[in-house]
Amino acid sequence: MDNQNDFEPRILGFCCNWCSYAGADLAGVSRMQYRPNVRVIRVMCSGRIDPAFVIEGFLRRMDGVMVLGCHLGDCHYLTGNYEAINMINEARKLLEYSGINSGRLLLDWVSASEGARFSEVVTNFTEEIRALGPLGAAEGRDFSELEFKLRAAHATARGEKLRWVAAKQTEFMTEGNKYGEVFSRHELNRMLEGVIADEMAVNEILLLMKERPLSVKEMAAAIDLPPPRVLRYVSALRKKGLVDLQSLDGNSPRYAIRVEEEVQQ
Amino acid sequence: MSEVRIGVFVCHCGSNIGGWLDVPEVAEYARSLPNVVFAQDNLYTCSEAGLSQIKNGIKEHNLNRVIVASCTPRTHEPLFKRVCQESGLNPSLFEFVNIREQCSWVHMQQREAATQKAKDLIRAGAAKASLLEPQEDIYVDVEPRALIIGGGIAGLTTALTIANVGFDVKLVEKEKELGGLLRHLYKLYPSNEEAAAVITPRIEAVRNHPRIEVFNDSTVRDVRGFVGNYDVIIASDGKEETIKTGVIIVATGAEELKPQGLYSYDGQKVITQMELEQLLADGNVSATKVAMILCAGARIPERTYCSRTCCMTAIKNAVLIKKQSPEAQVYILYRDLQTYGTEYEEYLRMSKEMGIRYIKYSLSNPPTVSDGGVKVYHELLGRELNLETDLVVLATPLVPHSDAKELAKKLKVPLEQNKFFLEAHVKLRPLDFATDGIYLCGCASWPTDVEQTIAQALGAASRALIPLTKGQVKVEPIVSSVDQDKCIGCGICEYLCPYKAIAVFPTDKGDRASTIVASCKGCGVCSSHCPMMAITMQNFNDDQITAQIAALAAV
Amino acid sequence: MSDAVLVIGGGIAGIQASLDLADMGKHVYLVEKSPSIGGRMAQLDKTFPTNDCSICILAPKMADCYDHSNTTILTYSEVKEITGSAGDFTVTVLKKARYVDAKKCTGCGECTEKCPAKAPDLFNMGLGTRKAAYLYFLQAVPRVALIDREYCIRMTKGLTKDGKPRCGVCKDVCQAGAIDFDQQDEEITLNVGAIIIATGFDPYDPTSLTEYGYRRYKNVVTAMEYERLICASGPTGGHLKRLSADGRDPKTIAFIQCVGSRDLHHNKYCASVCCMHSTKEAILANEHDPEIHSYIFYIDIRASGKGFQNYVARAEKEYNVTYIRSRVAEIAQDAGENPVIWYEDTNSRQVKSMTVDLVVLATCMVPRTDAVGLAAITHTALDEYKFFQTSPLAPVDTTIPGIFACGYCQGPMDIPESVAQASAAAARAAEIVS
Repeated sequence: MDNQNDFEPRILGFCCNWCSYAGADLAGVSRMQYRPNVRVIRVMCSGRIDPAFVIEGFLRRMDGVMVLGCHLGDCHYLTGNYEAINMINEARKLLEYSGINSGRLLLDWVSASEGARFSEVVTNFTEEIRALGPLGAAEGRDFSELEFKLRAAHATARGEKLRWVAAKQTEFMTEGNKYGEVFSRHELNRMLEGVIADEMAVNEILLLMKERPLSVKEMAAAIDLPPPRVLRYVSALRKKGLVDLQSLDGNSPRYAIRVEEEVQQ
Repeated sequence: MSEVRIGVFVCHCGSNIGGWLDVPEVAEYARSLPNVVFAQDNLYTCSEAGLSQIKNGIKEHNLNRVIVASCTPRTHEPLFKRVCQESGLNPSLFEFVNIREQCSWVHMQQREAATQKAKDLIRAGAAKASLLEPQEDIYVDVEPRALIIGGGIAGLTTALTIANVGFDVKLVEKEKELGGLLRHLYKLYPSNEEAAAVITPRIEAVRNHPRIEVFNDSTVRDVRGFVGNYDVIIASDGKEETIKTGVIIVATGAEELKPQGLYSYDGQKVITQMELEQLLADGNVSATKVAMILCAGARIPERTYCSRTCCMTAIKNAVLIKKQSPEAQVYILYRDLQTYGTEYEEYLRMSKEMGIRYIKYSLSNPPTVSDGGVKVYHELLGRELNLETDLVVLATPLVPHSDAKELAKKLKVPLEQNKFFLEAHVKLRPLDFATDGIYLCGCASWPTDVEQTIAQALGAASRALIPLTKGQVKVEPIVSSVDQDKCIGCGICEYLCPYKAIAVFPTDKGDRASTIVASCKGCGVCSSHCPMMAITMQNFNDDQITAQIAALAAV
Repeated sequence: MSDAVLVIGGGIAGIQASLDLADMGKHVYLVEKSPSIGGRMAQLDKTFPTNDCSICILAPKMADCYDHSNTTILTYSEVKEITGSAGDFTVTVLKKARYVDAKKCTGCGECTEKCPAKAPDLFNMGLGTRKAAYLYFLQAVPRVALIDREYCIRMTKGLTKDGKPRCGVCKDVCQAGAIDFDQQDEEITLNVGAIIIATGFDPYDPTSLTEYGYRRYKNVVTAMEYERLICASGPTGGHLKRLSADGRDPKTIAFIQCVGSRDLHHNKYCASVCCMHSTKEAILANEHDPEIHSYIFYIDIRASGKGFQNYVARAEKEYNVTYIRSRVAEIAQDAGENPVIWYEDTNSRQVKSMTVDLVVLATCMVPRTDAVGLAAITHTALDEYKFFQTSPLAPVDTTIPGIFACGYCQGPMDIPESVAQASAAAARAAEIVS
């Protein structure tokens, strides 16, 4: 069966009702054989996929996530698959920030008539993930390490700040922001990356503090960021009332999460 | 909520599933899942026998969720939902798991893996089923009235058809008179009937119809609402009036391009086909040496489309000139002749027999018009001809009205690149807009001849009659809903929704989005994009999808 | 009086007319001759100018039409007699025996798999075979098998010496117990207020145009055959290859326009859709294999519908399609079974020849052969080409009140025009039965 190793990738799939799921049906009707690794969840449109779903999949130790929609221009909902591009683009960046090989996430198009293509896409993706190895292997990291990052990514994906920018992408690229400035894909990527960098750091800080009170130095060391940047985030969190000064360790302050507030889940 | 009691019915589908994976084992496994109180395997779940087993299961085991693990929901879901409903179970509490197209048929050589995959999918199905909520079918009432924009042949035909079936019609025309383009034509091809004889009786019929009210000299100021419940504000004579209507039909037509700067157009010696129609109607064509240049201003880089009607218009007018003065020389300079179908091809043949001359030119080497003549390179002869003329007629394309864009914006419907209205689907929904309750016909959509326009107008009437005769529009319960406490009224959902099915409205708490359930199609883009996570996509909500992911991952 | 409507023909026009009327709350009887609704559109691979997959956009409409609470779909059935007048017609329909109990059959395909008898696959234009027990096509609606009485061993071969039937495999393997060899044809009487004819077209058989070498040369196919060859659910699984024994992948394809149309000896009229479907087929060829170059031999390019000019322009620019204004005189064949096209290039006025790997004939489309019979049954008039006669100002009204015609049976038109006309016919019928 499997040539050199016993690793069978666990892959989560999302298919839209109108094209890719129908393509999978046609693959079935036509008895096209493919690898049994993918578990498909049917949604109405690929534009439904929230980046948080993707992160959730990896948090649950899936080795790959695959999102299949209608070909561009064929979307049953006119533009849903264009929104899927934006969402998956965001998810991919979150994975990169979490230290996960973004090759583990696939966005592709399969029409209702492309049974063969469906089986091909599934087979190819399965083999790509097999080559990457279990989650963490290609990354050279332990899952526990990744898990911490993924939890921060999950909170980031569900956080208002990133969702705002992500959701505005189409408008910014076509009609521009409220000042009428139209952004290029490149500029938007820069903007997204900026927000992700900030929000990932903030959520990691919150996660760390959830364990125990920490000084800025300790936090900076734990998440590998320069202390001044961490201090900036902590100050901002204090202003928002999410974080309190817990104690002073000599001269150095220790911070803790304010009790009534929880990390955004 | 009361205790969740799931029943799972695993189908052998003859040997289609049972032959390739272990169905009894899968059913046995299903029984072990949380909330599952009953599971059995059936030879054919969709057969009469299988369906009665579902009904019995619901009754005997007091099931409040049903899962069928068999083929694809895309074909059989309606059937099983119907059975649930017949057994008194809300159909939204049914969940389908596909273990045929997703398992047995595609992993035929891997019985164990296929069996395992079927178990995983059922586990995810049960996780989702536990979180399903009953949904009621949503109905909205339809205002029994149609509003038609445009009083040309298209609008008149639609109005009469809808009114004849028994609904009130409001017909809005921006000009003083009804009749549209046909008022400016002399005779129609291929019948050679006088346009006036065609349009006048229809105008009369509309004017005298007790169910039709005409607003001439009027424009659409604004449009609000959704299918069944549109408010259209009409401006006429400086006054505004709001009309409540269930449906709207766009029949605004198109206009002839005035070829300013083309081929020495001057309206005297070089005229358009429409201007020629007027001369023909008045019996004022004295010219005996006529050249007609087709594709004047069409099929050129800045206007790439073919206007479909100009070839036949030119041929018809050439024939009319020939009939008025048989000694006249008429040349038609063309690129490709659009005499499609039976009658037009016959008409072309007849015109050739009458002595009308056809000269093919190409875009790269167009004819030139000078005083008293036309110079043209005849592609098929391979040489230049100098035609002596006393009249040059330009066949110019139909172009959209300049106010089409404004109207499109008010209706929230799209235009295509040439600014004609864009239908829901070019192949199968030519008369519908993607927005429910708004329809289109005639030249507003694309240049069309009278026959096709009438067919489209009748067709648009049919489409509009569907919600009107039903009196209600049923909405699939796969719609979004907005948590008013979380929503901040940012409007992202309104911007992204392809159907304008979610919008921000002022409330006591400030601006808040809410779903217009009648228009929502259930894609869920609003839900995945809401910065506040305030939008729930029913039947595909975050909790359900997350539960599926968790269940699939659990081993 | 009846407020039901009869629709004859279950192609896209008949389906659309039925759906409109059913949605308006009228009861519709849809009578379709073949075992499934879907018509010609179900046989197409893609549709112009969007390259939408034909069956994918059609299948949901087929299902909607079949599942609708206001429709009765009578497939494998023919209208035999009509009496009465507008508002009150009596219709006799012959429902042919399928030898399969539609209530029990699940469409699982077991009988087809095991059936030992083969028959030509008409859905695939006779390219390849199917079984005597069969589903008309993969996405057939209803998804009910049937047994072809002309090819079934049991029905054609009689009993063995010891008085036993010679076959019964389908009955043995059908776990649903759906096979019923005793099923009989039945006559059904319907009462309707209006009738819509939507019987569509047949491709014109180009065999009599001997200059094109159809049937003489394996690598000369019709457009309809080509659609099946390039379709993923077709006889080659969508692998475009030559029909000669070499089975080679073609690299050059010639599309010959106006085959049997705009031709005084065959059909005088223009079939209206061939310029566009050839363009589409050439684009699809190039999508399958970017090395393919297509040549379209034409008289006039008729691309006047929405988005058509741009489609033609894209074909030229992006898909290796060359349009040659010409008159094709003769198609010969070289030793390698490659078609050789002899033609007059009407722009350069020279006689030229071109050797290609495959020739596709854009044949005329003609009214279904049974249009004449149906006209007699309905007392409606046909025009000189045997399309149902209507007038330009009442484009779906036949010569008999209460009987309407739409789609290609009324005259040459493409799919959106057929859909628009179907809705038009529905509106006219609704005026009568409302």
